Amino acid sequence: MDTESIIFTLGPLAITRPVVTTWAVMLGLTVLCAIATRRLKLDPGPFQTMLEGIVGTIHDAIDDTLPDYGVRLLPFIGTLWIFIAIANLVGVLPGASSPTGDLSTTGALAVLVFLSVHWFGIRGEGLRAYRSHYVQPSPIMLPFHIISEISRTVALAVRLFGNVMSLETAAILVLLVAGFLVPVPVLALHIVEALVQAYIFGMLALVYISGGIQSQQTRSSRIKAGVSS
Amino acid sequence: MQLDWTTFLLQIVNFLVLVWLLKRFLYRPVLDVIARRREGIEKALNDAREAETRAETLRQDYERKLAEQDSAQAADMARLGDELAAERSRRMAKLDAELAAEHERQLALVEKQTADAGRKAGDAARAAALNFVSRLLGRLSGAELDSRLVDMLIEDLATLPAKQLEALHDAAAAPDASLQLTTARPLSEADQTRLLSALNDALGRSLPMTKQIDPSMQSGLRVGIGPWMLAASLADELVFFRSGARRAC
Repeated sequence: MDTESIIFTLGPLAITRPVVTTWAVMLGLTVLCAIATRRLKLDPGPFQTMLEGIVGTIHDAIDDTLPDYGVRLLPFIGTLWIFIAIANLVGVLPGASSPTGDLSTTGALAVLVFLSVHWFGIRGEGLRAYRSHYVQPSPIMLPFHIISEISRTVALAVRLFGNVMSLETAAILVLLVAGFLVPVPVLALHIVEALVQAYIFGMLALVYISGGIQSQQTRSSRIKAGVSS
Repeated sequence: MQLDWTTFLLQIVNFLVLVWLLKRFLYRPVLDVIARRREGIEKALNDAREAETRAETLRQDYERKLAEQDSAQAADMARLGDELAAERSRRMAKLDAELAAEHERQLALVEKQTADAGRKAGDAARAAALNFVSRLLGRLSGAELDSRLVDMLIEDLATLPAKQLEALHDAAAAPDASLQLTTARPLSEADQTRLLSALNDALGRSLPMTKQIDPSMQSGLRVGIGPWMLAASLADELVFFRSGARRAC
């Protein structure tokens, strides 16, 4: 454990900077959303239109990838996008660091994605049916399937962590080496990269989940077709 | 780059809490308001479709009524045309009758005017003829014509009908009966003698006679016997001619 990043301890728990930053992000997001959605109108104003645009765009993106799953996956995928984008952008603020620049945070998110893939897959057809796709087309494929699941989860965590950490490190280095205004292009690149990485992470999560659901659907439809034929 | 399990677990919890918070404060309210708006839009669309359906029904109903009205109007127009033709025929017949009556009236008027003109022309012609005869006979009047008129009276007495002769006899039989002789000029003795002789023969007795001269008679004589008058004068003949000519017309 990096003892420098521990802010305080809560009993046996050592609360680190990424956790505190995450709480701050959560608090800000919750307060902002609570205020923004307190008086929603059927005839929306500019801010409500922007809010509906964000939620509608996320919903439509999910629905395009997984039709009829928009509402069900919106909380998880939408929160991934929003949280990661804001968490990435926090690093731009002076004196703050991105929670996603910590491997524990990105690992936690990747593990959640890993679990959600199986959660939504099992909810679709049940545990037995979902489990059987790991031995398809042959039981020999089981280790490869497991390795694939683990590797892509690790890749998910490391990709986000690596990108954010490298950007923050590069910005700090440029700031130390060069003058005050020189890091501005690097910070702009940081903003773009933060948004892109958030989009990539959320999109990959969506693709993985849709893969788990659709593999089940494909298999079940194949079985139904075989029974009917 | 190291994994802190405490942070790892807390971040998992944090993210799950954030998922719940955003679901509670962002996704659900926004999706609800979008759903309500879509519901309102759907309701408005349904209302609009119903209104369109009603409008279409009303339009079809209106067009049907319009077509019925057009057909009824066409029927009314045809009936009105027939009535107008019948009324025109009736009025034309009436007008023809009035024109015929007017024509007849005009013809009658023209005939009457023609008759009046003819009568006036006849009167003028008679007046001219009378004037001519009066001037001619006036120039011929004299003792000789008087004598000829006495002869004519004597001849007429001889040819009088029996009924008139009897009436003369009765008049002459009255005790105070007399003869009144009126002449245009004094008669000659011979004519006077012949006249008295003829009168006595016709009346069957001799009556006293009084004489009178009337130049307006132009020529000839008148003999009065009681209420009767025997005339053979030029004036009386001209009067007879005038009245006779008028009756002839």
